[in-house]
Amino acid sequence: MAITVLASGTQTVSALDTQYTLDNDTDGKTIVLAIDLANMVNDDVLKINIQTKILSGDTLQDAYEAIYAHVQGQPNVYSVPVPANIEHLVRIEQTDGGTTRAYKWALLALD
Amino acid sequence: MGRWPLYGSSRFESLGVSGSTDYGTSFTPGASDSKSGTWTQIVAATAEDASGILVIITDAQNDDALIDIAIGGAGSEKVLLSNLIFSGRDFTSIHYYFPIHIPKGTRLSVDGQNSAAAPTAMKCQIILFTQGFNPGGALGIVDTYGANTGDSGGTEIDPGGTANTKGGWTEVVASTSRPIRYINMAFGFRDTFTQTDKYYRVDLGVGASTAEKVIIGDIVFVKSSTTDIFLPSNMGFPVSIPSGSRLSVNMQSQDTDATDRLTDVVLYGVA
Repeated sequence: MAITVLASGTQTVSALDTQYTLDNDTDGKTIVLAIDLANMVNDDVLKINIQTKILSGDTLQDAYEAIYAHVQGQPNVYSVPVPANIEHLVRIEQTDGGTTRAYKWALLALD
Repeated sequence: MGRWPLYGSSRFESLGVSGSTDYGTSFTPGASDSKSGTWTQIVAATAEDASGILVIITDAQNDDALIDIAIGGAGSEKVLLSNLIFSGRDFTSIHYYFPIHIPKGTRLSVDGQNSAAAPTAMKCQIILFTQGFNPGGALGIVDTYGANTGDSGGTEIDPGGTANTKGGWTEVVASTSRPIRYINMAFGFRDTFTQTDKYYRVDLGVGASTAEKVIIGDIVFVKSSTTDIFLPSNMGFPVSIPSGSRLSVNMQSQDTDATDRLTDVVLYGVA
């Protein structure tokens, strides 16, 4: 089955310590977040968070979180596949750094 | 909680040592507990992306020191590793390892502060562990908890006046700023260089005051009368500690001397 793009775009972070939602949906897919960190410079710190539900009546909770700091040697970053069969919420937050950045991203579905 | 970068290591890059008689890049830390403000370059540009860094500091005098490692061009240095505690007498070498990503082409430099009024030069070597077939890189950032720049040391831990009995929890950080996936505990002797050979046991705890829970317990260390240093001086562990956590240390020792038994502790949390 071909990989499809559920959502994509460029998120401009205009304030530090603020969560920006990239996508929140109930597609029921195995998702992979691909994000371009080429604009990060030394002192920047970016947190990427994916939340899911285990059962349909649950509240969204953290499933995966990754923190990237400073210049990235491999700027195209891919999350592990997340089988978000009920709901997913994908967010980013820049916590440090002198100037906020723009991040290109795509949420991929593997199934 | 999962963490998607998977990392492995296929080669090592040794920096700061050249020639058969060289044992590290010399740098002079700032005197009297103040950073020198002058960064000494270790390497102008690293050769490959790295997934881990080993920092080796050596010194030949009695003192306490806090060492910074920076990334970035000359005049644009940003601190990567902050306040690595160094405490030893005469001829001492301390090694710190952190599983963090450092991209190819990075300039690395070193600075520090020393408790002595006229410190002599210290030496710094860095070894980078470069990645094998690696989709994502290592962990991202190191936060320092408990360093005391006022005396080039850390948070004072008292194992108590009763031998072989835990002295009670001492808070090192009230609330961690980020989740911690790897933690390094480092120790110093508060500029006290009259030690005797003694055993210690150390607990790392998480939780509110009077409700601390041991997450790493009864780790045995020794202190040596020969070098006045904890052996080992620091060690790292994989952990899973949420942000906003309170971290404390509890300790016991064979030593009941009111001055000699005291230790400094600094924690380094890797997110």
